[in-house]
Amino acid sequence: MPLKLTTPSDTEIHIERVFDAPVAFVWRAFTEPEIVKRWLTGPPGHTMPICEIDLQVGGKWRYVWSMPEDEMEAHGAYREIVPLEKIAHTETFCQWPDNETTVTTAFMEDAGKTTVLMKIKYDSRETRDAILQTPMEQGVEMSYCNLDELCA
Amino acid sequence: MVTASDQLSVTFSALADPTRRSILGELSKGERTVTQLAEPFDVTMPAITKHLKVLERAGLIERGQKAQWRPCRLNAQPLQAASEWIELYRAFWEVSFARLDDCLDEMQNQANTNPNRKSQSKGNQ
Repeated sequence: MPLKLTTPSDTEIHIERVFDAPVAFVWRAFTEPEIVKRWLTGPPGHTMPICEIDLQVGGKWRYVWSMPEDEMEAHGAYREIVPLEKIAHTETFCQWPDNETTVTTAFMEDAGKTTVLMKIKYDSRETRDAILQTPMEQGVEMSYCNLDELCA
Repeated sequence: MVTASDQLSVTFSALADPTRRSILGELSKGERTVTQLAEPFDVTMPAITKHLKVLERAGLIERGQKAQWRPCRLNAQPLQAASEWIELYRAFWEVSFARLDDCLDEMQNQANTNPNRKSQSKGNQ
């Protein structure tokens, strides 16, 4: 099923997606490192060798992605946690140590399916454009896969 | 009809080239002629034209109708002044979420076949 991406303002991106699973499973997939590193990797060929999550208010998280010719790292801290409902955290990519974004992820279950709504807020439009261009470029630089498999 | 996965492939392909990304970066500052776009690169005009065609096919740029050197502009999204990175960002999450679908299927299958097993993941995948 396709995701819904909207930009309610110049500094915000909203992403909404429905998953065919109860919220208990989706919550674990977003918060347990061993599961996160299996899917939050973008285009094939990336792996996530490091995934650290200290899931408590003030706790820190850190992801390191490995690509054929490069590496990318992001980290942040948790601001708010409501189990099975909501996570608010900060996010900084190593390439732009001065630019911090705030992400709020909400989980809503209905009839065995879970809707995840991520709200990503940047401190300025330039930050948003700069951050989103380069990591995604690196992701794209490598093999663009047989997407039919994944998107079937 | 172009499927979502077709469009993702086209978008990825168009953007997986540093010259094309530089062209898009230049166009984000305003319209340019083909000559202007070719200037910074040590490639031939036909090579630049080929890049522009790839970007045009991916819907990321469009050509004006002026004279010999046609200006290229970024395609503006209907509802927002988004540029190609929005599509790239969307593609990243589409692919990641597709993988998450598989993970969730696996998790539920495991839970169904092992009803007495604790729900905590041992992380042995």
